[in-house]
Amino acid sequence: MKKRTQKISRIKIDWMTASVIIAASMLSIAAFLWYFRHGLTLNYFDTISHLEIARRVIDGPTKGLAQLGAVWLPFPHLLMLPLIWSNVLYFNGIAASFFSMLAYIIAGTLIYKIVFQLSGNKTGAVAGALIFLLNPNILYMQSTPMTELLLFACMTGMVYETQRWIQTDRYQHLIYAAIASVLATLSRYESWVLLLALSVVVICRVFMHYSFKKAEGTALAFFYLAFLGIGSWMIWCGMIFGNILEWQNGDYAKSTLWVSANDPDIGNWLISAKTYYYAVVNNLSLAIVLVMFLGALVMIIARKCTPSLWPALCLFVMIPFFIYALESGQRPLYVEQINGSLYNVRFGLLMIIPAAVFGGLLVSWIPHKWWYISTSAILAGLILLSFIQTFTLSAITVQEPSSWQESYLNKSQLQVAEYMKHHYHGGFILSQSFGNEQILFKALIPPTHNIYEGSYKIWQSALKNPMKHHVEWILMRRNDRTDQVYRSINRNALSKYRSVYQNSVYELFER
Amino acid sequence: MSRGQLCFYLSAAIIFISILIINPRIAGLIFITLSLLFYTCFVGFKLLLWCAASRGNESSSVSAETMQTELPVYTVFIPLYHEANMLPSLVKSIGQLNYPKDKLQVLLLLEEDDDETRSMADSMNLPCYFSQIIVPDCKPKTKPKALNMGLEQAVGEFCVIYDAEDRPDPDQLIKAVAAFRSSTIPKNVACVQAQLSFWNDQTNWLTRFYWIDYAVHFNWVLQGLAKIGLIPPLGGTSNHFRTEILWKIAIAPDELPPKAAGIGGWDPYNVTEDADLAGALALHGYRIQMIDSITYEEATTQMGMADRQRRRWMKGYLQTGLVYTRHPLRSARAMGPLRWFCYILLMLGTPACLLLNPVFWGMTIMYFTTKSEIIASLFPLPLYSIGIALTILGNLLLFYQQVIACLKRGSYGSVKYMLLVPVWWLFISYISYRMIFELINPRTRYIWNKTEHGQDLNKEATLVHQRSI
Repeated sequence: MKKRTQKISRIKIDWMTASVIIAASMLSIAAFLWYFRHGLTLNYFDTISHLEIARRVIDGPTKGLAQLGAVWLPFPHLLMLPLIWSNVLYFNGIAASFFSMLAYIIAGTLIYKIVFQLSGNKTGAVAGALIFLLNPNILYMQSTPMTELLLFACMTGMVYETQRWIQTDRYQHLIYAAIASVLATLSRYESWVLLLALSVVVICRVFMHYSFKKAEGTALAFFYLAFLGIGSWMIWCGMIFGNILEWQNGDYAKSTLWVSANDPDIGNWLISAKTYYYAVVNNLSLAIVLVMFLGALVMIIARKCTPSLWPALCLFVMIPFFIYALESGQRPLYVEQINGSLYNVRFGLLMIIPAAVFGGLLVSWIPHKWWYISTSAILAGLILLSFIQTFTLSAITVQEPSSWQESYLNKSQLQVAEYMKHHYHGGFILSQSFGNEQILFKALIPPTHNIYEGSYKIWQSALKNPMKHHVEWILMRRNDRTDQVYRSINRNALSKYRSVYQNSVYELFER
Repeated sequence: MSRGQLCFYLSAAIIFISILIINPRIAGLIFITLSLLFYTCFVGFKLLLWCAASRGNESSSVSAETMQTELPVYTVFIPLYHEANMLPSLVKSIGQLNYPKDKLQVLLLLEEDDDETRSMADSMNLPCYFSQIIVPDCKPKTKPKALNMGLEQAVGEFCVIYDAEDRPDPDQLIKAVAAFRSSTIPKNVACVQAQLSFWNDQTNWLTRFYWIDYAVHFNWVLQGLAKIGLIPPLGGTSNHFRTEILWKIAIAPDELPPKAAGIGGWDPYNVTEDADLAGALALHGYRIQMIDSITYEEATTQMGMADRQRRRWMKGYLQTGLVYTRHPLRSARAMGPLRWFCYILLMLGTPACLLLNPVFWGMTIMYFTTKSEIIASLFPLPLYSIGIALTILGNLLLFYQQVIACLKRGSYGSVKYMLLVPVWWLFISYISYRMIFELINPRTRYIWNKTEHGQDLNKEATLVHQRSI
């Protein structure tokens, strides 16, 4: 009995961390319910792609892990597997949103811990966590199946554990940082850049702090694991597609698919920088952006850029990375101020992590007597902005996909979906997935009987002889050579099908 | 192998071959399913042990002064065979043991046909607490046979085995006594095992992998087994026993070699008598614990020697596994079903895993290079998913466990050698296949592949000195 009570008293509960977790959980659920009620959680087309990829691993004519690959990194889809089998959770997106919400809580908590471990100041740490947790765009994105929140959780994990390793010199933290790196690099490509930056930190730290042998061993132990995600992804692509760079130069990965040749960013560093700046400001607000830069500047000067600050400073590597990506035409990003429209504006949201960390550090640095005024002001501002943008559904990340809903293509797709929802009575459907992702999903048809370009064993054969594969339905975009069904379907075979529905974009055939 | 076992294994083989002839795909599916089931259990078990071992390590530091007054007589068994060159350093390291010499009985177990070591021992001015026992030259020529001869002469309340090349922690005997007398250790603990490590880990890639294997085995596998109350198969040396318990559990004299019976504490026919003894102790309701003390040994520096030594270890594990599955129900009842299952999993699973690995690596490479339909047909989706997960996660975790062992024990220079892990794994798998042929052949079944020591003696002093710093 005595022993047991001794053990219990040894467990320390960090009430402040627990409070952050509870607050984050409540905010997460409230925001999800709000956006779910408004039917906005699946507005991004990519949300449906993510759900479909995960579902195809366990359901479909060529189900299996080979469905993972090409452009999308696999970790988000692997995470969804325990829930994706349920039709309810699949069609309402909760199978994926659940993990975004979980990641939101983890990221918020880790930001609190990063700031606290750097400053020893709980007020600053809470302020940092709130900058992240109350951001209206974060609140929206965490309600959706998008992979950004998962990336943020992994990235904060990478930074936090590397920072703790520097602070404590315990190799275990470096291993945790490497584990977070594996998960991050298998979630979104942006993390690859952060990993490179953190690797520089690790190399500098070990060679400045350890003997050569220890430095070499410690750095290698980190690299073996941290780069495993990237290495195994390339090997996987090599095994599945015969091209280890399929994610970069494969059929569905070419930047020309998204980036217009007339994009003003291409070849112009200044416009690219401006575009990214506007994207960041649109996501974070100008006040928070200023707080971020001021916080970083103050910390570099006041703390003389101590090694424990290096991992957090690495987060700024995203700025030159995105500017380069825009300038070189690798990524498209449209903002109202430059392009007059919105596209991928959520890329700017990445800066929320350094903003939260350095905002929190700035609060912790402010002299004690100003604490209450400054933190109250920041808090009031954050809450106000958050509430206004959330309740008016005006967060930039909500606006972007909402604007697509009115597009001609989207309306056409919804019309086909509506038809299929009422007329589909079973049988295999032959259709290209790329560009038409939401049709079957919105028609509430799971991919069980969908033969698409990822049905690697039967796709080409089904295009030549659909009846051999018991295809009952054929869906294609009319007069569109980017649609493989339209381009490659055997016209003799197609003559055995009758056209049952068509609109200005699509035509649907039934046997 | 008992008649029952023989019938069982033969029937299983006949049934499998029949299925193979009738429908090769079904036979393949059965093989794959059972193999993956085994891998899942084995890898899961290893991870469980890793977690268990990582939970709060208590270190035992005992001051000699506090124990001096009440220390019991301690017997040290040192079996030697063609190891004359090791005697001087051995006598020195035993002399450095922090234990009253009047309470120490050191028994050098010398083989009758080993004139060289015997003459060396005679020519040396051995301390008075050393005595020699001559083991008759008869079959089987094994270490346990010599130990049984020694056990007959043991007068200590506790006893321990050291090999010729061992350099035990000077406080080890005191720590063992303290552990046996500690109120926190259950009364049925019959043996405490110290950790083994190598002092010549940096000699070449082979010694590095030996070192890493030991670090993983003693830090996590044995530690984990002891912590969750399972049966740690003992290391070959530095295992400390309550002598009377060895007498109690001894094998009947009629089962021992007639010319060199002694007291049958160890099975003289088993080539990993240590692992076997762990099972015997468990069978009689006794337990084994680990102590926080290290004995340094010399890792073999030559591939040929490593081949012989590993073959013996694997052969011994298989022998032990077969012994304790002779009467599975009886053994399981006596040991406890879970303890028995885990013990058998480790004894039979370790060589089985090494035998299966090349088959699965081969199939993986074949599949991804040739996209063979035959291999694909053997892996329906559930098996394929489990197989991929095990291939990636299982290999990765076991690989990284070794990297962590390097960091934990400060062997930073070995981390870069971890890239050679596939070569090492292939090498020990190759050895395991050779072992099978040795086990099948009745003439080589009980052969004790003696490991030669003293290949790296010149480096020892410096390295031990560096380590102590």
